[in-house]
Amino acid sequence: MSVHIIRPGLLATIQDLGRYGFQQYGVVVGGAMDSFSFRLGNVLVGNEEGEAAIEVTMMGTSLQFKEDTLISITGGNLNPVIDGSPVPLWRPVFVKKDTVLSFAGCQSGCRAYVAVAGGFSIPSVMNSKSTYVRGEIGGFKGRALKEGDVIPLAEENAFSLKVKKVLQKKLKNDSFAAADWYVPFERYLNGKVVRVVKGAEFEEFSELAQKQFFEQEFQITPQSDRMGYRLSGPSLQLKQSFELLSEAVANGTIQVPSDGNPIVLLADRQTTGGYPRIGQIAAADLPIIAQMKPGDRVRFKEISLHEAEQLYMEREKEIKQIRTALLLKERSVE
Amino acid sequence: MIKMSDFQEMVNIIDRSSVNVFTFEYEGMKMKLEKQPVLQEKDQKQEFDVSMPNQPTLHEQTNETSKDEVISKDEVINSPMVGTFYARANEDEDPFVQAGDAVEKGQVVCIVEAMKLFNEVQADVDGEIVEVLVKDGEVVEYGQPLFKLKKRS
Repeated sequence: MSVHIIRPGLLATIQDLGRYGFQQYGVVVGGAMDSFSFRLGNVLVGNEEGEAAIEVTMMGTSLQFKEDTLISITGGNLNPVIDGSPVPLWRPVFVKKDTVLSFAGCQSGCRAYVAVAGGFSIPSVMNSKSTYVRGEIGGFKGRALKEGDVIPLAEENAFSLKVKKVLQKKLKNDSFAAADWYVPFERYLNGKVVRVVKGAEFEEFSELAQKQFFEQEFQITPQSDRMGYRLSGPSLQLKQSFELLSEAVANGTIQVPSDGNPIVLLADRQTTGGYPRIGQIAAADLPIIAQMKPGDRVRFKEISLHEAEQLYMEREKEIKQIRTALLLKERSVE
Repeated sequence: MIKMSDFQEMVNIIDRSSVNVFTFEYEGMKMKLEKQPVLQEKDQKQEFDVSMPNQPTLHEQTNETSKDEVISKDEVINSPMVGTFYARANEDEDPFVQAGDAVEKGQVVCIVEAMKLFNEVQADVDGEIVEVLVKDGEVVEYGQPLFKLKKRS
């Protein structure tokens, strides 16, 4: 069983939840940009949450499934189509042997995840299958997917096989059959406001900058990628310049270089940073920023660390509920 | 893997449902729930009526012309599960169907949510929606009628 890359599109890579445990050696974490969508994609097809999946960026990607396969598409709506018919997101989908799935372009969001039951049979590098393109590490041969790539699939588990069989029975003359159950998660991706906890150096910024940061709009510039987004908007100035030793940065850290234009650090961020950190995006809102593309506008809203933790725990609870519900579903469907 | 809160959730759902015995196995764990049959069948029916007090009146108002018609089973769309009834996919969208709408077999008529999982309910025959029997956001039982349908001949 395998997936063939007909066209890679703008950027398609294999990702998982990232390469943790090696930042002390300077190894970038990487992994799925929108990890909630990614995890749900896996849960829907019966995989472990962290199983490798394909991250499709914006448009042009075309994949062919060489066997009957159970898949799910989550994340941004990049207009996935099979034989000209739109494929619904956020649910298990059975695709027939030799079916081609293409992404026509962004309707909403920026990144979609294609999870396949069983996951991809590729080696782990430092405990992860995620691709770090700049470092040529992990994923499929350490690089973005290319035309002609053949990625082998691993065995499906009993859950996946059951769902696959149920959906196969629904198949008529089409190449795919989608489940009539889904998880309504896109509401977490489509916001324009991102909640932020004050960063370690927030107080070092001028009063004006502190106000501007939470009151004005910023735009994502074209100098943005999986490593981070450069924003343009009001120039955020410090009270007075100071020397900062390099410190830890995390997914969603917002740092401000001397030109005053903030940078949001994302999945492929470096391990440490030397610019003052004005804020830290709440984990629950990371999908919103990860699904934004150049030209989109964002506002930051201040919340406390406690609120950010609450949001995170609620989101995790919801994912756990969905997992349990799917487990029960799999037992009840015929 | 499964936490106490998940169990509580499950127990709550089963408690509200018409299921009497429920067995659940997961990763070596086994759980069996059995409800005490407190009510006689007659009483159960009564309770069912009480839980939907507004229904009989609605029934009479909208259905005077078809009073004599016998509603057969396939002219009602029942809920496939216990959960929350949603008439629309999103708050800012129109309902899937309203009274008077023609529906085709396989068309999605509503969503029933259970534990954050949304389940689409489809019409199983071609026909016309005569009446929507539940309100948006209402909790529905397994097998509870959701729509009254006139089958197209």
